[in-house]
Amino acid sequence: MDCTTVSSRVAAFLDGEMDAGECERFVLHIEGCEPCTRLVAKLEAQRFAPLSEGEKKSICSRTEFWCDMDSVLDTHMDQMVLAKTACLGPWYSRRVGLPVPMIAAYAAAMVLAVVWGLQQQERASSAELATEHLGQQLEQERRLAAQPAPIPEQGKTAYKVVNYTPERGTF
Amino acid sequence: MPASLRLMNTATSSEWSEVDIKRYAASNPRAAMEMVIQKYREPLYFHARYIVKDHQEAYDVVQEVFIKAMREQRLFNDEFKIKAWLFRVTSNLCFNQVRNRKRRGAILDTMMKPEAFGADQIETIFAGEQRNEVMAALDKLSEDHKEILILRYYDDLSYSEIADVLQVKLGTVMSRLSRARVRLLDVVQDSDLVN
Repeated sequence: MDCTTVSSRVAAFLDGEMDAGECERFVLHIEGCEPCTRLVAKLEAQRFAPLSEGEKKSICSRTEFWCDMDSVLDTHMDQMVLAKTACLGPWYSRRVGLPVPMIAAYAAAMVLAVVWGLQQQERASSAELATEHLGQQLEQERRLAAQPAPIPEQGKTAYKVVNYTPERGTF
Repeated sequence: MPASLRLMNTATSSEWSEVDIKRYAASNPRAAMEMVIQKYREPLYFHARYIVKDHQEAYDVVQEVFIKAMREQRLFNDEFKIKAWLFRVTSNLCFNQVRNRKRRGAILDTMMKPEAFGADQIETIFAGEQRNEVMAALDKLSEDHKEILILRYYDDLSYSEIADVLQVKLGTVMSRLSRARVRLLDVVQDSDLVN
């Protein structure tokens, strides 16, 4: 271990967060290195003066201390419950991020929308067919109306004489 | 909050593990959220208080952190680390607060703000010559160094917990913490020379 490694591991050594092997190498180095020994001694003497548990308690243990926060958080709690219920549901619910009843409602709405859409499409296509058929009929009638009436041929009678026997002596 | 949970003392709440809370969340997410609040509001308040140095700001930050937690969909997922996430969000909000304050140019003497509930009494508890000296020295460090020193020596988090909060490797925690301590030593020595 060299001086650079010592300076980057000194906190772990002082906090007892170093493993046994590394700790041994660390001690071996500082025993033979005066600057590193001085550094370790100085850092060992460093004090941070955090609040004691008693001091913390004296601040937070009063019932009024958290009152404001409780009332604010309480209003947010119901929204959270809905979201968390979704989060804790089955995999499809967790993936979508919505509660199961809401997913079911969405799915039903989607199915209804698809069915309605199909019905509308079918209705539209049958109306289209009817229109087309009507158009064809109109076209045919128009064509028939545009044709001239047939002229009867000259010399040909339009009447056919059936069982006519003239009386004798008529001519 | 239900009376049953409000009456629970903090000694009980500190005994709840994250696994217990997550298991409880499956049947009652609201109560699980209340357990999270009970368990972490105090350490988060002090963490915030050490960074922003103002009771009301720290209080508001913690409140905001819990509101964010309520909206966090992954909060009760098995692999989610609640404590690390809460401390990370608190740190981020606090440093944003400090940066905004600096940007506004409002150098608040936070020790002179007794208008909040019991703030004067809280400041008395925080006030102490040695503590003030160290806190003043911490303010001269970079955000990274200040944060890691607060997490370790004020919030009493283990190295692995710090690694989770900062989302770095254990080796990085060791080296950053060592560098931060050496830097703090330099700052204290420099200020001693000036004085």
